[in-house]
Amino acid sequence: MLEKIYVVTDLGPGDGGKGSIVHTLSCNLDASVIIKRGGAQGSHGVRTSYGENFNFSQWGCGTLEGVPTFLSEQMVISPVGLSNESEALKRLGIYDPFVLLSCDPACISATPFHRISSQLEELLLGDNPRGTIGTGVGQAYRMSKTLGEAATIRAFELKNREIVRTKLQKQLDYYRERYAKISRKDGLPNDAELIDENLSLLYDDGFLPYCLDLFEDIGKKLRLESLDEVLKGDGLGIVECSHGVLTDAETGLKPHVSAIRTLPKFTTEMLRTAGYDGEIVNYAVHRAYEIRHGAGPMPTYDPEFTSRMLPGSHKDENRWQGIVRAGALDLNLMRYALDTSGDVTFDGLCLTWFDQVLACNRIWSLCINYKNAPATGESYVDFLKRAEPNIIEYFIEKPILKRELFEFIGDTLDKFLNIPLKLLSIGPTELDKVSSNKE
Amino acid sequence: MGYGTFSVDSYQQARRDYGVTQSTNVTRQAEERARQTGHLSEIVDPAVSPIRRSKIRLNPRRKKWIATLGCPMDIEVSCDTTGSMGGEVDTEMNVLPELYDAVAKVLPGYDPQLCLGIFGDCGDDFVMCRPQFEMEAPKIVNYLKEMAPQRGGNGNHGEDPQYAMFARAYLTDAYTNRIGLKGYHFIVTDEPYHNHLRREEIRRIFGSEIFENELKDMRSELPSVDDMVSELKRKTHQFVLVMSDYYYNDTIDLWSCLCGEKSVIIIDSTSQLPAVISAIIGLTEGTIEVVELEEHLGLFGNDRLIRQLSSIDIGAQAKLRHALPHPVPKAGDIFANKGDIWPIRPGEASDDDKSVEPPDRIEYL
Repeated sequence: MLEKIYVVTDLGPGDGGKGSIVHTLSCNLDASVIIKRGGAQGSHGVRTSYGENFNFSQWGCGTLEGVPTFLSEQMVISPVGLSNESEALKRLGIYDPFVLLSCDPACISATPFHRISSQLEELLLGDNPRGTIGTGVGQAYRMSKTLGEAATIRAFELKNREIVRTKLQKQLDYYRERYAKISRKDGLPNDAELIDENLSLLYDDGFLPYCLDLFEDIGKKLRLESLDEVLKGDGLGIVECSHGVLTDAETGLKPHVSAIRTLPKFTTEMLRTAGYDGEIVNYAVHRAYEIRHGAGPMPTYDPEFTSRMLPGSHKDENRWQGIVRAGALDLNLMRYALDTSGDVTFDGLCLTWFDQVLACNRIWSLCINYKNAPATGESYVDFLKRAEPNIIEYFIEKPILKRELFEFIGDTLDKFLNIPLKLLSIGPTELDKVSSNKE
Repeated sequence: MGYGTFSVDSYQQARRDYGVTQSTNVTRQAEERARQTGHLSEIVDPAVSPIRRSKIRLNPRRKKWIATLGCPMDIEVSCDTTGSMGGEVDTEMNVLPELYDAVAKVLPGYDPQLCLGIFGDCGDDFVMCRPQFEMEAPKIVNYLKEMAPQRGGNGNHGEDPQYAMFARAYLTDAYTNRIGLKGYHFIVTDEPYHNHLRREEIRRIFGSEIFENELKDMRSELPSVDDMVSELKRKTHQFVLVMSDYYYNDTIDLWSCLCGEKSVIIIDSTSQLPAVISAIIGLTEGTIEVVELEEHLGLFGNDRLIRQLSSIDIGAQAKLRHALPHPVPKAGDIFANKGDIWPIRPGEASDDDKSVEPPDRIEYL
C-alpha cells in the first residue's frame, strides 16, 4: 500500500503552477506514481534543472524523472491528445512513453466531435464568452451524463473498433442534429471561419475513419489498470489535479466553471472508496499574484500590473481562453476557495512564480479585503464584478536570504489565511524551490 | 536494425500510406498548400518549434532509465532547392533508404538520427524547412513530403544557407554535444552564401519571439557569419557539398574561404549523397579507411572525389571519443536520471541509491 499520498490542488482558476510543484515533489519525495484526475486539456509546464521543458497534459509531471502516471477514473482522457503528447515525449528522448502510463478502464474518452461541439458552443456565445480550452473534455463529460453509455467511449473500449465506430456515429448524429440550423452568421463576424471549419469537419465523411484508426492505435498501446492495484504499490503517490477550486462545476465561480468537480474532497473520496487507508496530505497551489486566462471575475485585474509582470502577454490571447489577466494576489478569492473546498483541510500552501515578483520591481501586492460589500441577495460572482480591492504592498528588501524570504512570506500568509507555507517557488526548476522542511 | 529504427519495409509502407508513390514531385501537395495558406506545414516550420532535438532514447526501468539504442548521432543535411536544384527533395526521398543504410554501416553501435531539410533564398516566401531529427522511416517520409521548396532563388548570386547553419549552431539540442562529441552538418548547394545574418530574417524564419525566448543572448548583437560558422564547427563536423555544375565560378572559393578547404567537397549529383555522406562520416569516425574509399564509393568513386575525401580531417571524431571521460553510451546502459549526461558505471550505484541532499548554501535573492 502506498505509504502516503500528496494531493496537489490549484486554489485558483488554474494556471497556478501545479506542474512545477508536482515535478519538484516527484524529485524530492522520490515518488512512485502520479495519479491524474480532471481533464486531458490541462497544460502543466515543467522545466528541469538539466534543461528540459515540457507541457504535460495527460502524462504526469514526474514523467521526466521516470515516475509512472495512472489516469484515474476521474480523468477524462483524449486519445488524440495521447497520440500527440507521446510523439512530443519521444522527441524528448523517452523512447516509449506508454511504458510510463496506465489508465483506469472506465475513463471517459473525449473525441474530436466533443472538441467541435465545445468550440461551437463557445463561438455561439458571441461576445459573452464563458471561457474554455476548447478541447471537448467538458462536452465528453456532459454527454456521458445526458446520453449515457450508448454514446460514451470508455478506455477499455478504445481498441474495439466496432464499439468505437457505433459510439462515434452516435455522437456524430447527435451533434449533426444539434447544429443542423447553425451557420457562420450565428457567431461574431470574426468567428465565421472558425464556425465553418468546425461545421465542415462535422460533415467530413473521412473524419470518422481517421478517428477510428487513431483510437484503435491508442487502445492497443494503453495499459489498463485499476486504482486499487495502483494503491497497492510501495512508496509515495502524488495526485495531480487539473483546473482549480474556483472552476469547480458546483462551487466555482459560475458560469465560468468547468464541467467537472475539482475539489480535493473528491480526490479523498476516490482514494478511500478504492480502499486506501493511508495518510493523505493536501497541498494547495497558487501563484504569488492573481492570474486568469479568459473570462471570469477578477477584482484585482490591473492591465498595468499585467504588462509589468507578464510582458508580452497581451499577445497570448486565444479565441477559447481569451486574454491573460493579472493582478495583486487576492486573499479573498483564496479564502473563498479554502472555504468551498469541503471537508478537506489543506496541510500547506505552495506559492509559485515569486521569481517574477523579484524580477519585476520586488513589490508583492496583496488584496487583503474588499472596500465594499455584497448587496442583499447579490450573488458572490456578481459582487466580484464590482468589488473594490484593498491592496497593500510589501517591498522585498535586497539582498534577502532565501530562508528569510520564505519566513516572511510564510508569516504573512499565515496571518491572513491561516495556512502554512510549504514550498516557495523562486524559479522554474526543481532546484529553485525553498521548502519548510525536507519536502 | 531492430524495433523503432529505419527499415526499407517501413519506408515503402510509409510512402504508400502517405500517397507518395511517384518518384518525382513528392512535395506537390505541400507546395500547393503553402501557396494557398501562406504557411508551411508546422512539422517542418522552424517558426513553430525553433529547437530541434537529437536525444538518446531511453525507457524507464525501476526508476532508472535504460538506453534502448546506442548513442544518437545527429546528421543534418540541408539541401538547396533553388533554380535547377528545385527537385532535390525528390532525390532525398528516393535515396533515403540507401542513405540511412550507408550511414548506419559506418556508425556501428550508434543511433543515427537524420534531419533532412531544405533552404532557399530570403527573397522567397519560405527560406527554409527544418524537421526534427528522426530515425523512423514513416516520420522522415512525412517530413519530406511536407517540404515546400520554392524553386526560385531571386537571381541575386547566392542563396541563404547561412540560416540553416545558424539553426544547427544555435537552435539544436544534440546529445553528441552534451557529451563532447560532434554531430554532422551538410549543406548541399550549387551557389554561394550571403555573408550576413539579419535580425528581421531570423524573426521571420524562426518566429517573432525568437529573441525573447531561445536567443536571449543575441538580443543586443548578432554573431557574424564567421563567428556562426566557428560555433557550427565547434558542434559539428561541417561540410559543404557543392554540385560540380555550379553556375558561378567563385562558389568553391567563397565556401572554402568561409568553412575551410577541407570542408568543401565537389559532387556530381545528389544521387551521390548516400555514398559521399557515409564516406565522410566513416572517415571522420575512423570506421573506414582511405584505402577502402574506392570500394565504398562504388560507381561514384572518381579520382577527384577520392582525392578530396582523403584530405578531410580523418579520424577527427575518433580523437574526440578517446578524450571523453567515459565510454560512449551504448544500448543497455543505465542512466540514474533522465537528464544525466553519462550512464551509471557497473557497480557505481544500487537500485536503492538515493540522490544526495545538496549542502544548504547561503544564497541571496
